[in-house]
Amino acid sequence: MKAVRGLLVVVLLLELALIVVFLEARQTRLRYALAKKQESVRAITLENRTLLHDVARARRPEELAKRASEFGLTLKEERK
Amino acid sequence: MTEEQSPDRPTRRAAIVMGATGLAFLGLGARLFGIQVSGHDGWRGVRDAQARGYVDLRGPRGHLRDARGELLAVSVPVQSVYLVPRNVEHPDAVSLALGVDVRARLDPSRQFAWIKRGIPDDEAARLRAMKLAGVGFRTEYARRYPQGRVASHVVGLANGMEDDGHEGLEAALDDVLVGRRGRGTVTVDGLRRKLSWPDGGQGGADVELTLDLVIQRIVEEELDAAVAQYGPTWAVAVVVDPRTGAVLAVANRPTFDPNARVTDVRTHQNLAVSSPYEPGSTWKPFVVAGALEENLVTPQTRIDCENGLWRHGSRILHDHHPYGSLTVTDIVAKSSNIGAAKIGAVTLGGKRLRKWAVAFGFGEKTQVEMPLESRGELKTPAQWNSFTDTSVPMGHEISTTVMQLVAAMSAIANGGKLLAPYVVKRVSDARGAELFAAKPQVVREILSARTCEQMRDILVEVVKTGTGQRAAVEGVAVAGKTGTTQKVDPATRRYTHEKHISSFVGFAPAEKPTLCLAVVIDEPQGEYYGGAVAAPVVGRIVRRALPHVK
Repeated sequence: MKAVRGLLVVVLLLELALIVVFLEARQTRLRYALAKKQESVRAITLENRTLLHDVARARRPEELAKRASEFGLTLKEERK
Repeated sequence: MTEEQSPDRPTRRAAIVMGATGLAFLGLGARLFGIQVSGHDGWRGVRDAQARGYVDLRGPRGHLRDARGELLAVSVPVQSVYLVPRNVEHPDAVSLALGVDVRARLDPSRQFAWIKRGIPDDEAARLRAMKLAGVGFRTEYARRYPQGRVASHVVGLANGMEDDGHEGLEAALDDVLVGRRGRGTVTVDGLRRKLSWPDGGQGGADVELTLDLVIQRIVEEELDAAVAQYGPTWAVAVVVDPRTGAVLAVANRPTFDPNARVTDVRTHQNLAVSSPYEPGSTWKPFVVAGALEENLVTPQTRIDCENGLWRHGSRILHDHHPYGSLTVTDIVAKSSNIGAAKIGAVTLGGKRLRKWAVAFGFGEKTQVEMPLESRGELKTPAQWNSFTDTSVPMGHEISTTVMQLVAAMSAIANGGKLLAPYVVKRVSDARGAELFAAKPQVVREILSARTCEQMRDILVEVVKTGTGQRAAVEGVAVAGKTGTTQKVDPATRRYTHEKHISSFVGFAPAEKPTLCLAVVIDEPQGEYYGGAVAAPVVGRIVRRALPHVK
């Protein structure tokens, strides 16, 4: 009985060790995922800068006038 | 084996197994102790070295925006290509792929050499796909100015790839705009994959300006029209909100596009703050305001303008048209040199005249954030003589920047407070937290409300019946003063009748001003009177800009 009890303790310890390893592995997986997300956020932030620039250029009155003329529209000349 | 002996045998085996297991655990424990306790520091160092990686944490430069949030300057990511010379295996193939002969750059003692910076994304993707040994890529930031040449003198210029401000606000606010630089530490696994990303590499602060891009564009268009019509050597327009001192627009001609790789640096000068000139008759209102404030005259006081010719000491002064007795209002409205000189030299006198020039901020920087600001020129008491007494009231022997002139006129417009003009409205960090918010700054209170009302009526008369009639706008009372300054011929060092500076400084609506502006046009061809050349530009700007003022 003593031997069985001893084996039981060993098995329990092994199970605990397995749980610890599993939790560590899970944590590591999450860290990989987090690092990937952080890189994605960084990439999106960079892309956002390019888009901000493109939008600002597209919003310029001369660009709008150009686009309007492409659609056959003429803008009212404010200066006249 | 007897029956009595059999129960003992498993017990013995179990004891052996348990003993062996115990010994194994003991050995494992001893090893663990050796690693975790006695050799802890050494192993920790090994672990840290293996798990440490570095990333470039150069944050991008902050944005510059106008008061409406429109983007004026932004740093966009671009790919740059570099070589690690000792790792290049096939120089000819690399040269062919990059379109650059890299053989001359393969000095093995060098660890790094730039090959191409700021290449288009599709080219970067093509080169990456080729997986060339010894060729690396780095993300850098290139400075872009989406509005092109609009407000380029205020915004200035930053060196695209090096990310440092060279001119304008890009230079003046460099410490604020620049992103955090350096290397950051990351945790990596055995395959050098990142397990963390450092908290750092933040971009520089974003700066919101007081410039209003709608008004700025109007001013630029009108200045372009004037340049096309009169072909001047330079032209400047400045618009300020006289209630706060916020600069709404600054335009200079000639101008430049900061996105262009090569520009004529002579076109980069922000003349509005860096280039003082003799203001001519646009300076007369400040003489009259001083005399009114000191109760030496009233708008109705009559002054003999000597029928166009006045001898004062050894000096003879002329008016463009001969006038007899004029009221103070008419002296300003008709821009009589003799009347203004009499108010300055005789009524006020040299000392008080200089005191009022100082009070209005002439001879000192306005402290607007734009770099290379000039203080203009105001003679010291020691340099001041009897000629100066009569010259300064006509805007000669004194020089001012256009910004100083508008700041001084704003004091008349806003009820007597000289405000420091400012162009930086707000600064916030890369996460949006406010770091700075501008507030109007009163330099000093110089005029009473009564004097300002009298000056407003006088300056409205200039536009109604005087020299500035072409600045009039239907439905809006415009107040202001024209200026036609003869220039000094550098060869003879005397005033010439051939070259002039045409100008107009004023505000609108006169009863509750929201715009104070000046237009200065140097050496216009054909017409040259301020009332003919600069005043119409001011009128058009007021008409178009006023509906957009907040």
